[in-house]
This record gives sequence, structure tokens and C-alpha cells, in this order.
Amino acid sequence: MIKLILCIVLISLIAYVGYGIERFYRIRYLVAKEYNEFLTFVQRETCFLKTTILEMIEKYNFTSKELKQLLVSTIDNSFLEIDKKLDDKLVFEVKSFLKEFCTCDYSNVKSILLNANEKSKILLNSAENEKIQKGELGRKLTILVGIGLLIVLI
Amino acid sequence: MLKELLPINIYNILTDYVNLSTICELRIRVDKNLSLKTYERKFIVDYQPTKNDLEYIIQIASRHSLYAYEDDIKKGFIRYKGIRIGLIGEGVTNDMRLLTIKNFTTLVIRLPHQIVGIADRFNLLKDDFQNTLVISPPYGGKTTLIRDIARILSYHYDTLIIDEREEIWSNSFDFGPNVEVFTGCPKEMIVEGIIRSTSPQIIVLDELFQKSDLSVLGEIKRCGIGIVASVHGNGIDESKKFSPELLSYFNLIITLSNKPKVGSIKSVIRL
Repeated sequence: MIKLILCIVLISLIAYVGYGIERFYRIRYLVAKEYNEFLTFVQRETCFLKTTILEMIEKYNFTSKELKQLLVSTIDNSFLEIDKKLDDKLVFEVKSFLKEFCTCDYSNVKSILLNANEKSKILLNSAENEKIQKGELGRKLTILVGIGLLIVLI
Repeated sequence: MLKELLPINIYNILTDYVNLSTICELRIRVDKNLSLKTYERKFIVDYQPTKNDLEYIIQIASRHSLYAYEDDIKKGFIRYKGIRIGLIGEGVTNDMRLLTIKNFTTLVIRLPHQIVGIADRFNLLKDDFQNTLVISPPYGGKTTLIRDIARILSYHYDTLIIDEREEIWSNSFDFGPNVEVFTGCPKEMIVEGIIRSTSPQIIVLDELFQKSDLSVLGEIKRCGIGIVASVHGNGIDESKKFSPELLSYFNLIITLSNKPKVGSIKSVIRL
């Protein structure tokens, strides 16, 4: 009986770790994807309506709260609230983009957005690769390890 | 509003100096003492703002989006919630055109005030409206007077304020129920469309400056709409000399002076 309970606890624990690893990389991918989509929105809003960045952040329907938090905290200079799950490269890229974007004049907006868009595509590709290679692999591997341990215990 | 706009160190210094609601103007110069004007007097504050202080104010005023205010910057100011911030720095030109201003060295922050009742003595305008021009040198109180005239008129007429620089209107100010406001656009660009679409009885304009403003006045008068406007100047004779056509659009000329104090009425003339 004790052995059975131990097996269930172990499997749950390992499944949780596997799910956690996958979730970690999935969030990174979703944030990178949303950043890319947000840049397209920014391009449309700035080039015609000259909407301010604060209005755009307010207006855009974010699905990931992590990206919104990152954008807001970068503008407010309150770096403490940045989510630890986010990729350092993405955080650096968002900060650099905002630093340039907030101080540029109208004639430079297009080129800054074009540059940011290119970089975000690279980040998105790398996040997608990480999600497949590390996230899904991690999940599968932990399941296998769990099954292995189960067999050993039984 | 000042609390949001100013760096916290400058804000704290100002609160130690004066009652913030009495401040009319703040001059923030890089590495020079901060100066401020109230209704009564001028103060030189023992603090020298840094370049970072100026950049902070510009970032807040432009909502972290300088590109969105480029047209305003070219005209030498940024608007922030009814506050006008004059910009002084280095002009960038091309083919005799000003592209933008960079490396700001001075900010002149003008804080608008509504003094309800200062135009009460012109109360008769509500019964027998006459096209009214307010002439005053800078810092003479013409915008404050025009704002109160607009307030009185907006209780009795459909009043449209064309507020190119957002000087007259602010959400926090008290106006009557019959007021519409169009902001952030040169007068000549919108006057035709807005007259056709809103059919106002009176149009209130902020400072007339360019020659094109005369054609705007002509259009408004031709449509049978009343006008209230202001212009920089020292008096009716001087204005007549520089622009005789301007006075032909108005029947009542109010001249203000900043001596002995801001908003002193120098003359009221019916033409």
C-alpha cells in the first residue's frame, strides 16, 4: 500500500516538473509571439494616428500579462517587476526598442519599427525552437524517467 | 498636474517655496537657477536643473512618445493636460525648413488658470454680442479673459472653441452646457468643415498670429458667426498700424496690460 502511494506521489511530482518545464518555454514563446504582434499593432497606430506608446499599451489586448508588465515597468523605470520567466534577450530587446522609440522623431519611427520587427522575428524563431527542443523534450523525458522509476519501484 | 510632470526633487523644492496653485510660469534652464512667476512676483529658486530633469519632463509631457508631438515641437511647444511647455534648444533645418528641435536647454512651463468672473463686466456680450478682440502683450492675461468670456457665452449661445494649442480649454475648467472644443489643429485647416458640421453661433479662437488667420476671420464673419479672439500687441493703435485689416472684423476691442499687474484693463473701445 505504501509503495502504491509512493508511486502515485512520485509520478505526480515528475509529471508536475515536466509540465513546469514545458510551461516555462511555452510562456517564453507566447511572449515572443505577442511582442511580434504588438510591434505590428504599433506600426499601424504610429504611422497613421500618431498614438502614444502609453495609449497603445492601454489599447492593445494583451494575452500575456508578462509582456504588458515588461513594457510598463520599462517605461516607468521600475525594473523590479519584470517576470523571471522571460528570456533575457527578449527583455534586453524590449528595453532597447522602448529606449529608442520613446525618444525618436516621427521620421525615424518606421526604421526603428522595421529593425525591432526583424529582431523580434529572430527571437520568436529561437523561442519556438526552445519550446520544441527543450520544453516538449523535457516533458517527454520526465514522463519516461517517471515510468522508469515506477518500474524499478514495482 | 505638476506632481506628475516634474521630477520629484524639483516638485519638493517648489512646494517649499510657494503655494503651487499660485504658480503661473516656471522656467527650467539647464545648469541655471530655476525661476518661477506667481500672480504677484517672480522667484529665483536655489536649484539648478540638470539635463536629466529636462529630459524627464519632456518624456512625461510627450507621454514617452516624442514622435507623436513632432508638429507641436516644430512650433516650439508641447501640450500636457492643458499646460503648455515652451521648448528652447537647437533647431534642425533642411532647405530652410525647421525639421525639429533637439538638445533642449530651456523649458517654459505656462500653467493656465481659470478665474471665474473676470469677464463679468463684459456681461452685456451675452445679450448684445459683438465680435470681440482682446489685445495684450505676452503674459497680460488675454487667454484667461477669453476663457471667461467663452464660459459666459457658452451658457447663452452655441459656442465653439477652436483651441489650436489647447490653451483655452481644459477638462478641469468650468464652461457652460453649449460648448464644443476642437483642439490640436491649425484654424485654417478645420474652420470650413467645422462650421458646416456644427453650426456654431459664436467661435472663440486662441491667439491670432499668422496672415492665414485673417482669412479664417473672413470666412467666419461671412458665415454670420460671432467671433471672440485674441492677439499679441500693446494697443489698438499699434495693431492698426501692423494689420489694419484685422480690426475690421471686430466691433469691441479690449486692451489689456501686465502693468500694474497681470490682466489690467487698459481700454475698451467700440468701433
